[in-house]
Amino acid sequence: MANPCFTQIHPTCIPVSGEYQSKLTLMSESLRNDGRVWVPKKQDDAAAIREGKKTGLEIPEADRDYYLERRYPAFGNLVPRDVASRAAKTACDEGLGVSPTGLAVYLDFDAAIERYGKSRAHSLNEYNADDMRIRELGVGVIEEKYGNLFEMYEKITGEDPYVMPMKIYPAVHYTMGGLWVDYNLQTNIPGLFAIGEANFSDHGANRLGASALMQGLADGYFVLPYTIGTFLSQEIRNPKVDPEGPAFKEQEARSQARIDKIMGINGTKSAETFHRELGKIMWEYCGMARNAEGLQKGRRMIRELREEFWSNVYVPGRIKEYNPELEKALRVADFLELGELMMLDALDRNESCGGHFREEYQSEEGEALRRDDEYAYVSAWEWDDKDPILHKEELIFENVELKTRSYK
Amino acid sequence: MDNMKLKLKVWRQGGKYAKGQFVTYDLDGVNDHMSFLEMLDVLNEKLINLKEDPIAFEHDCREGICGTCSLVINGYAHGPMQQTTACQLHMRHFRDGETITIEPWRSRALSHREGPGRQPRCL
Ligand SMILES: Cc1cc2nc3c(=O)[nH]c(=O)nc-3n(C[C@H](O)[C@H](O)[C@H](O)COP(=O)(O)OP(=O)(O)OC[C@H]3O[C@@H](n4cnc5c(N)ncnc54)[C@H](O)[C@@H]3O)c2cc1C
Ligand code: FES
Repeated sequence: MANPCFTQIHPTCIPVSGEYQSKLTLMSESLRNDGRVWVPKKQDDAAAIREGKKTGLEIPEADRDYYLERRYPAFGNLVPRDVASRAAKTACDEGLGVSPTGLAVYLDFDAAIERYGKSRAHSLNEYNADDMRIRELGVGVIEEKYGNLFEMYEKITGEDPYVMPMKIYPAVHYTMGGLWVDYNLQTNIPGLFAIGEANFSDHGANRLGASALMQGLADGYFVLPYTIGTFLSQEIRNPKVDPEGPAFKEQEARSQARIDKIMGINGTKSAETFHRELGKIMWEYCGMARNAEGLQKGRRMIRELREEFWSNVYVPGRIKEYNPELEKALRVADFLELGELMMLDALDRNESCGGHFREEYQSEEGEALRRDDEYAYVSAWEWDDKDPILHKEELIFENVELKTRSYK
Repeated sequence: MDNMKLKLKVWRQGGKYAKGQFVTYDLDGVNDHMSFLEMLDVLNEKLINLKEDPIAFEHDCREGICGTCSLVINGYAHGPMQQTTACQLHMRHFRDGETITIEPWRSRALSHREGPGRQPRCL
């Protein structure tokens, strides 16, 4: 597993509404092309909104803080995902969040509706269109561009985003890290190739829009068709592998033992409960902003949770039937190890870089501080139940120079 | 509203050849923001705590994209809302105290075991 700490947080997700939620739905980033992100300037206003005494519509323009436009005038609402996400967290940490949980900011299309309305009125030669007509035309344009997203938002939240500003909050979207592969996309198991989102190879520490297409092409079209052939050409004379052979038997016995073990615990807590607890630990200590103390604590908590899992999980049902709970329990067991590895990797990387922000390493303005002199390496981890082992792969740039990005 | 009470009539069947039947569950504390699947998650958590078999149902994206969540709800595939998959159907569209019937998707198109006299009810 390589670079497990690099996690992309997506800024435009539908905020948390309750403990029962299975996921935070992601809405397309395209919304930030026209939506303006803001929170109230005053904590009193934000508190009134949270308590349902006011709505966003009642906050006058002068009392709104369009914080992305203020902090990043050149890019405004279109700053990259990690920057937009952290800025939302900062606003909510300051008590300016606008949902009952305190974890939401507005994404407002009012200005866009007016702007598009005016321009459409103009192109229809309706020079005397009143405000209502302009709004109507503007809503029409927004509907053409984002109708399906607005509908999805309304379905989930029960609020009409054409009237009330949308509420959004960042949520985890993508892990740039993944299975370690070599230059030919082969993992450390000979013959096992990993391509696409499953590997770590293409994105580095961050990931930009449409990069799945890029990765699909790079791995699946330009690299793998050539490298896998090279591997197979050496295998072609090998006899067919016998599925009754000792290697198969051994692995089958191992898998069976693992299943028997997990079914046999017969504890008191569901796999789902452990999954949720793990998720909370990850979000709290290995989320948008991390620090050494939190990461150490998080790692300890995961270890304790893992111990509890293997002594107290309860998996209902039987082995030889369609049993989604068994499948889930086996996955959660894996996640407990993966989660620990993410904490460990984040702890090792004493810098802020792409999808990894360490609070100790930021500029005076709160921007990420990279430390290329010490950390320009890929972290490839070898699993060990007690202490996973780090293999560093130095990054050498021959044709480009490392630069610090700026969105000011 | 965060304390809806529901009566759920769920089709339970141990396996392909086992005899199935409807089992009724009372569920309270349902929040109207929950999706239909989240409501079933809550029921399952209760069943697991009682060491009873939870309801097995398919799901994947839970975002209305993949169509895996194939439940028949009150006689309609994916429930009564137009253009809405079960995972995007929210409990605010049901009434407090309502009885909801939940069945698996019926697909017999490829089955060669069914004689002509044993056609399933059309949904
Ligand atoms: C909601 C959403 C929106 C996104 N939007 C964007 C976007 O706008 N731009 C962008 O660039 N990226 C986006 N992404 C990310 C992008 O879609 C993924 O990174 C990309 O599709 C991954 O492609 P893949 O082929 O590597 O993996 P996948 O598409 O995940 O394919 C993995 C395949 O493996 C199969 N599989 C799994 N286990 C097994 C098994 N044991 N045996 C056999 N098969 C198995 C799965 O069924 C699946 O078909 C988005 C992702 C999501 C979820
Ligand atoms: S789970 Fe994918 S559409 Fe419902």
